[in-house]
Amino acid sequence: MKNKIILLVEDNQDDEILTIRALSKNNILNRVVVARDGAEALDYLFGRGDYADRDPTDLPELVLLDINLPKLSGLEVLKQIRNDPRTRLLPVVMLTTSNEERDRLGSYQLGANSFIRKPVDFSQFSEAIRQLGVYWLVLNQGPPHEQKN
Amino acid sequence: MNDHPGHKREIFSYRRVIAAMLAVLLLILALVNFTLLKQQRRAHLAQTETQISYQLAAAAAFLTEPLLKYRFADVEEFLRLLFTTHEDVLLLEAHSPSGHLLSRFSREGGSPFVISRRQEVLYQGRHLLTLSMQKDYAQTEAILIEMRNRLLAVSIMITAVLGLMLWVVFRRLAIEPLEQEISRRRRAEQEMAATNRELDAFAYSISHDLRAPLRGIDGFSLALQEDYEEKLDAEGKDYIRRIRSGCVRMGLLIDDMLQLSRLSRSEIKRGRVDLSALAGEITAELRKSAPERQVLFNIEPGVTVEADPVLLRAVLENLLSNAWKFTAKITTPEISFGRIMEDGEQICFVRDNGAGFDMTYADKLFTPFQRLHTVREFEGTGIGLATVQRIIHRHGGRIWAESQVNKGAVFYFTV
Repeated sequence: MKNKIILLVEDNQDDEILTIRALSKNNILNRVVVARDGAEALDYLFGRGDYADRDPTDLPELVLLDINLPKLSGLEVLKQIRNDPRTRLLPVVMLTTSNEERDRLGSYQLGANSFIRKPVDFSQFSEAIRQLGVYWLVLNQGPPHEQKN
Repeated sequence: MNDHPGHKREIFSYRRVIAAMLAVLLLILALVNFTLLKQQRRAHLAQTETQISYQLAAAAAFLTEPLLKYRFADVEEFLRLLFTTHEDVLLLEAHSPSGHLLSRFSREGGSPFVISRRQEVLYQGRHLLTLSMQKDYAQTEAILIEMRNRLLAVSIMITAVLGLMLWVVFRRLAIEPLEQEISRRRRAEQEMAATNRELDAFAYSISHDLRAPLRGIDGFSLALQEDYEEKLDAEGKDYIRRIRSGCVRMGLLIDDMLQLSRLSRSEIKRGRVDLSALAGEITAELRKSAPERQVLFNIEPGVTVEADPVLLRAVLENLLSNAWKFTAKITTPEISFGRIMEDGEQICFVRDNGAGFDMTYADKLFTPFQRLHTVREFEGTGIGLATVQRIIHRHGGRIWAESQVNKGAVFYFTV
């Protein structure tokens, strides 16, 4: 379980610290890679730009994706993830402040696996992160990884 | 929003009215022309007939003497002269009383308009000769056709000019104001849509940008409490608790404000709403939220209205959960939903026997963020009733309340 990577796409540093804190508080000790905008997230996933030396077949176990991001929005990132055969099956959880219906609808239409609204109350947020970790990293049987040659 | 087709229909019907009027006018003119031409034709024909009879009578009178004197060469000569000088005469024949053809002059006419007459030459009752003549009146017909064409042209011109005048008048009187009204409304709608889009963007950024720092404050307060627990005394922990409850409350305020702005902007789609059924669902949810509470619900069945189902649900949710909230501290809580009829108007009500309020402040009841109880007594953001009032007003209805402190409250509304 430890070697499974979580990709956290989050531009707000407070939220980043709090999310990582919530993960560790709940004993989710996976390595967390943080991408600070949509473009960086895609670079990481597809091994481009700053991440050119990364093996793109080594996918994270879970992507936590904020919707309001600089450059590419979370919805656009999700769209590109779903359009690429390499990342089409990657579990993506939208983690967002907004509770706009169109964001939720848009996320599910583009193939998000879950949509979680970050509550103001941190205890609730922490609980949501805990359940998220338990479900996606422990209970859920992810899609089979492609064989590396 | 979609009332343009009505105007278009009206303009369309103006066009139709004008077209129908012109058609009738053209028909009347055609009828008049037809009658006129018929009369003209009859007159012309009568004239031609008179002319031919007159010519034959004159010829008979002139021929009597030569015939009596057997000067047949003169008769022949006279007939030739008559024939050659009148080009419209197609055939001129003279027969003896026994029917024997004496002389015949003819020319090719080719016209279908031919008139024939015969005249007997008599002297003191004695039959001397029979003259017969065929005359071509195609020329007369040509004049008539020319006349018909002119009448037709004039009729069409009259109709066209009159139609144009009518159209101009109608345009000025009826269509132009309508079109101005349409474009004015369209502009207003576009402005409204733009404003709504701006408001949407504004609400969206509020929901995101105001909540994010709030979550930070709450999260780091909790981190402080958890990670530095041994360094904080009871007072310090209480401060942190207060910071965090402030955050949560502000989160609720933001959510309620957003709901208020969203509900007051969304389009109203009216349909039949069974308020009794809705009230049943909502009270069931309330019961589930606090199963330990014993509340008596009285819901009058069969109360329906013509309104937006989503918005009316928000109305009942707010009123019933208010009633639920304000009956929390009494021993035998009772909440009713029903209707009364007044002057043929259906007035729905939600009644409770809870805390109630002082009627002195009744006018502040529906003001956003205005509360008649402290948060410590009863939680809430003070936006629920403002939302309810806005929904009712958007339906063109009224809402008011009656209450006495500690004797419960009744909220009445019409839609």
